[in-house]
Amino acid sequence: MSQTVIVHDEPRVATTTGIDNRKLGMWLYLATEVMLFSALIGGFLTMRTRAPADANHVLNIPITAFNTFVLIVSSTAVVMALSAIEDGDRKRMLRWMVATFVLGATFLGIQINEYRILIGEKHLTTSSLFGSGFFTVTGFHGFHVFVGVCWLGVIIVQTLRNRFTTNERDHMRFEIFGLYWHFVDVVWIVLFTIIYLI
Amino acid sequence: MTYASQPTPASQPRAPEDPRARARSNRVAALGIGVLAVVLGFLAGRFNPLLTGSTSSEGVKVDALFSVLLGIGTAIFVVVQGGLLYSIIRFRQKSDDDDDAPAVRGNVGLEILWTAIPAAILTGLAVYSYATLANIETPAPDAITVQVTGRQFAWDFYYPDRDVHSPELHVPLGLQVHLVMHSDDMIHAFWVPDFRVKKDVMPDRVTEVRFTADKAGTYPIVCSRLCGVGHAFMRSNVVVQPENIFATWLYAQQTGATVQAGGQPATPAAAGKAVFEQNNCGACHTLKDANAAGKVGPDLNSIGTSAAKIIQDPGYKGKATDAASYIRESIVEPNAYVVPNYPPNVMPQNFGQTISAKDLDNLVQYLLSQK
Amino acid sequence: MTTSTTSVAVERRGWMRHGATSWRDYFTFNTDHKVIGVQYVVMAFTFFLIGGLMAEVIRAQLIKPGNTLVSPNLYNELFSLHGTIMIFMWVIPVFTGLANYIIPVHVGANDMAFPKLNAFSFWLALLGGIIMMVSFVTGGNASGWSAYPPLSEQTGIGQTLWAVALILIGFSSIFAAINLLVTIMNMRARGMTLMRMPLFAWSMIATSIIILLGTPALAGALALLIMDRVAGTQFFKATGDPLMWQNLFWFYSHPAVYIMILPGFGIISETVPVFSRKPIFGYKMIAFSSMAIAIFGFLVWAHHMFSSGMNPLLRIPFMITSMIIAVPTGVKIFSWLATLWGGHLRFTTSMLFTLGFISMFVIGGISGIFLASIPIDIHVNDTYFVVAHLHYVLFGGSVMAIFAGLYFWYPKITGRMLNETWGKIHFWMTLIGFNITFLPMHALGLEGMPRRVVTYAPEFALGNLIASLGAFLLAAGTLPFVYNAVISLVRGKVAGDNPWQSLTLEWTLSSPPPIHNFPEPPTVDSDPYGYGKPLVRRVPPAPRQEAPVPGGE
Repeated sequence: MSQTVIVHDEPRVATTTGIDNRKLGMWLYLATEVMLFSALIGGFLTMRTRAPADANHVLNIPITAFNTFVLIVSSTAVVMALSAIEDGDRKRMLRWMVATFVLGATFLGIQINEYRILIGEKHLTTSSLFGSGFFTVTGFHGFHVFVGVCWLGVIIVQTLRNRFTTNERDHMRFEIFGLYWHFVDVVWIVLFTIIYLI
Repeated sequence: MTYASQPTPASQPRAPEDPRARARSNRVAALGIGVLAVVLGFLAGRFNPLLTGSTSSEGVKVDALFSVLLGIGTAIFVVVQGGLLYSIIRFRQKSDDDDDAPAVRGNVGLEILWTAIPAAILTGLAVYSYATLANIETPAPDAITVQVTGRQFAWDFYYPDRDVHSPELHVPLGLQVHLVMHSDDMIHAFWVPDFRVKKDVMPDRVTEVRFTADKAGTYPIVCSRLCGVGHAFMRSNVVVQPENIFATWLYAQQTGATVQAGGQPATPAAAGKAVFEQNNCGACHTLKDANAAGKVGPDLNSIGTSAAKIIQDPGYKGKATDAASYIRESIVEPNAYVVPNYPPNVMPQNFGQTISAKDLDNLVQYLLSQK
Repeated sequence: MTTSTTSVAVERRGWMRHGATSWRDYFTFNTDHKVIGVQYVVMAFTFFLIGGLMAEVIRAQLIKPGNTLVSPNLYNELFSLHGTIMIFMWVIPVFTGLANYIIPVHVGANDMAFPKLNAFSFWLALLGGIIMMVSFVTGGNASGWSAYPPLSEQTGIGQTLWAVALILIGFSSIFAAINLLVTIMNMRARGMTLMRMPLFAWSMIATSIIILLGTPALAGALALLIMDRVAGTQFFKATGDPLMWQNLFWFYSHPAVYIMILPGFGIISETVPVFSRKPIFGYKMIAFSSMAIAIFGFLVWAHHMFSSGMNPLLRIPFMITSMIIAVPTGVKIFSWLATLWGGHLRFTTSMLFTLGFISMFVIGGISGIFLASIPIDIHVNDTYFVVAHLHYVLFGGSVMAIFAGLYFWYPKITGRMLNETWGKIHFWMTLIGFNITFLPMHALGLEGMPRRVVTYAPEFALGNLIASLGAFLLAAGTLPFVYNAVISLVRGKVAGDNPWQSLTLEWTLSSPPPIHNFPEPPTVDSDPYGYGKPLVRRVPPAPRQEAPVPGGE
């Protein structure tokens, strides 16, 4: 480990609970997102139970399993980037941020390709019972990944312009991005299990 | 900095009221309010003027439950309003006294009491309600089954063992009726206020409801779930008849569907009149011959002659070339031409699918005969 | 608008502003919670007038049976949008606005936790409201504010716009809730433990939790509805499950009614002690009852579905929870009564609305108990009995509490007193007009009048006539308030810092407060209900530290 240098550019403000405002805010926001995905998953399950039992056989499990792995690795990359920030290592932080970005974009690319195959070749559409649930819930999840990738893109650009550094304030900013990203990852694991494996 | 340290304005010294006498009179007042609450509550429950006279055996039990709730509700009402009124009168700030009141922050005993007593009352009400519910929904072995179809904006009642359709629900007195219900389009709700019975009618499943009418008569059926523009007009009737009269009616429907009184085969126009009634056209249209007085859509009293005039009018936008085809177009494609001063998009657009071809022909003939 | 003696200037940060010294500042993207609070309140009140106008047209149509003032289609749009606007663009945002203004000061902070998010929340809500009005002129949501499918999948394009507007408004609400929760949990003054907070803050904690956990269910339902309408999915079609809409919708919309009343409870808990000159009775129980209502509120939703095709057995647990939820509310009412009892009551207009609230809300609560009982609910569901109940709790309850709060805090916000005579006229016209309008509706429903109907059977004529006349009086009663609120801005008596002799923190500041609230961070050592006690001993100020500023800004 290189010598750690923590730079404080702002006095630490005491909060009544001891948790940083932004972190608390993100946790609360994720509670909302849990409820939203619960509602959407409920919608999926209602459609699934009315659809024929073999309706999900059109799905490509191996590719999607690989995609799940991609997302999990991207979460690890986020953790590595965060550790680099804590060490004050800007170059390492940037490397792992870009890795996360690439992995996230890969996930989206594979998802979009899967949609293309399902719609074009397997003729699964939103009009079918299974398709109603499948496209809606994976679509919302994909949108959340897209938002995360864009957010990370902005952080990367700011890093390249030296407006995002390893100081305490940006450490917290990246931490809350990480919370969001991990959440999106966990949701995908749940979705993959419910949609593809059951 | 602490909380506002503005002193309250200096007050004039005044002869203090005896605190014990004051507290005693307050306690008496509280007791008085309590007694009044019990008395008025009892009277309200006993002489409930709001929900009485149900004509089903289930409804009578619901009314009894309502009386109990009314009594309890009245008692709570008197306690709270009484407390407020007494406070407003008795504890008004005197004009020569700017002081704060004696500080009382709580009373554990009181707080326990006003948590536990309402909880006990509400638990009792839940139990009583459950008992009533179980009672009114118990199936009877000799129930007769009627299939109900709701659709925009009419009811159809079907007696499966006799293959009889009717726009009104005829039921025998004193026998449990088991309704098996389904909707062709939106969610509707079947409600007979006099029986205190109601259930949604759904397009994706069958719903059921039971009642036992215990007084002969005719009682309104009201749709009570918003189902479109004709929701307010989606009404029918329950006709409660003694068993033998009901049986006669049912037999007459079964055998006489295509037979007029006197044994003549029904003309298409007469059959068309039945279609008019079954589809509740009178909810929106006036037609004296069918006892219909609806005002939402155009008057149909001499549609047989006016149809020919309408298609000659330069403002006519439809495709009909004679009176009969105009009438048909008005039923299956209402928006093709809407008579001036009447709103478009109000008449259901799907009568072409819900009315059979033969019934449609008969209906057109019936309307054509209205000259 | 300002009578403040401070001369802190409005700050400019790029295209954003912070603080207001003239009316123009209220039309900017402003990050000062006090400005945002006023923006919310004025926007919400405007929508109150719009929704109220719709109600007057409805009552004009219903003044006699067979009336043809409006077509059935327009009528369906009117009551649907009336409900939507009153809930989402009046009651919820006005409470958000009052909380925005007052809560940071109540807890001793200089602003909310996330001022930029706060400003964004307001403008998002306004955008949603505008789209909502656009939906009205494109056919609206003619399926009731509850928009049950399949009907809500057959209505025009306005229904989709309505759903989009609601999603935006829902997000605005969620962001506001996050802001409030973080502010209250994290930015309290030194010495302010949870048990020393004003009860308004407790009520906003409970409200925010409900918003956070409940609104997504509505967002989910709306998303699925939009998918059905636009992408051909089958979620709520006859081949799918129309009942699932009802479950998702009511999972939010029942807690939503607690979103609409809990802030009102909080306001009443502030005004009752001030105008009784006594501490609030049972502080702890009132605080805990708010949390109990928040939790229980999520366990009762299916009582809106007792006569639907839901599983008959499952109705029973919902009946039990629906009965039990009356207990914490009863605790509050009895505590307020006990606060009034033995007090020295001052009958300002704010106090009149406070008393009116207690009186009217309890009637709505009692009719709610009737609705919790399944056999009775089966009879009265979707009838005018429900219309009566909901207006007693929402108008007799929430709206009266809103006015109690507006009359209470107007002096703090504007630096001027509202005229008490006009205030009393407003109160009496409202109380009397309100009861004439809605009391008969209990009987109408019991006797067989369904709701959401453009006309009705002749036997209901008298009740409807009375209700319509009452509604006209009620509407007229709003005018004195509008006049008063506008005129008092220039002609009202100067308020001073603490015209009500109240002990909460906002009254230690000038009226209106300085742009950054507290010059020095306050310290407290008790709850703010120390009426009737000797003055609190001054505590030496804490060692110099920065007042809690919003994190990360």
